Amino acid sequence: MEIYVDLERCIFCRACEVACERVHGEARITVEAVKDRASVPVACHHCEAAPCALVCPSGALTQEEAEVGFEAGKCTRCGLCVVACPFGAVDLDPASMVQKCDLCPEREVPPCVLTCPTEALIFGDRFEATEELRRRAASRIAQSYAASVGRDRA
Amino acid sequence: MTDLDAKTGVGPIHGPWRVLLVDEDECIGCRACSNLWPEISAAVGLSDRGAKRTIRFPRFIEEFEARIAKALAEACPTGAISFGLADESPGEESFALTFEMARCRICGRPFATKKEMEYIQDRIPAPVQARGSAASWMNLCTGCRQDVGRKAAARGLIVARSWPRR
Repeated sequence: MEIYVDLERCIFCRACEVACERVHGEARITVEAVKDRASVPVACHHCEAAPCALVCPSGALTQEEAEVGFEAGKCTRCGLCVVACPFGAVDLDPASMVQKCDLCPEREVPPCVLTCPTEALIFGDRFEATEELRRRAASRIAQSYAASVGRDRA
Repeated sequence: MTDLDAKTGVGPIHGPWRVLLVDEDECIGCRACSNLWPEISAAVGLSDRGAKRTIRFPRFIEEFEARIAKALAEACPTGAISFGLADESPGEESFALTFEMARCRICGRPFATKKEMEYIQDRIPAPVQARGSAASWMNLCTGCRQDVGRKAAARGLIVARSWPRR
C-alpha cells in the first residue's frame, strides 16, 4: 500500500499537510506550486530497495516489500537517510526526530488521504492506484470529447 | 565479553579514568553521537561554518555512566567511537574533527559531509545513484531534490494547462 497522487486534481489547499501535522506533530507531506499552474505534493515514495533503508545503520528504517517502515525507538538521528533519499522526502530537524511517512500503520486509511477534498491522494497498491488513475483519465477524455461534439453541433 | 564491551570498557575497565577516543579515518561527521544524548550536545560543539563541519568531542567522560558510553559506541554508524585509558591518550580536554562539505549542484548550499556521501555511495546500487548522468540526484540538497522531482512530475500538466482555451 502506498499513497499515490492524481496531479490533475491537486488544488494546492495543503489540507494533507495540516492533517499530517495534526497526527504527527510535523507534516511529512509537502505541497508546492510549480510555475503557478500545477501543485505537487511530495511524500515518501516507499521505494523498492529504498536507499534510506539501505544506509540506515541502526535498523530504524526497514524495507517490507512495498513499504518502508520507520521505528523511532531505534533511530539515532544520524541523518544518513536524509542524504540518501533521492526525492528529498525525509526530513530531520536538528531539534526533533526524523520525519518520514510511515503510512500510519495504526490506521486503516492515512488522515492525509481522508482529508483531501478532491480525492487527489489515492491510498492503495500500485494496481489499484493505476486502475483508478486510468479510469479518471479516460473519463476526462470522454468529457472533453463530448463537450467538443456539443460545441460543433451548436 | 562482546566486541562492544571491549571497545567501551564495560567489564574490566571502568571508572573515572576513561577517555573518549574517535577514529579520525572512520568518523564521517554524521552527528549521530551528538544527537543521541542531549546532555552531551553542549560538550560536542558543532559549526557548519563555510563548507566545513567541525565536531568537538570532550576527551574526559568521567561524568558518563557506562551505559551512555555503550550507547554512544552503538549509535556510531562506522564504529569510530571507543573508550580508552587516560594515560594512553593526549591530555587535552577536548578535540575537534573537521569535515569537508559537499555542496548542492543547484543552490550551492553545503548539505552533507563528503565522507557521508562516500558512505552512502558504498551502500546504494549504482543504477539508483545515476551518477555521471545529468539527472543524478546525488549532488543535490534535499530541497533541490524535491524541486527537481516536482518540476518533472508537473511538466505534462503545465503544458496542458498553458494551452490557449477556446
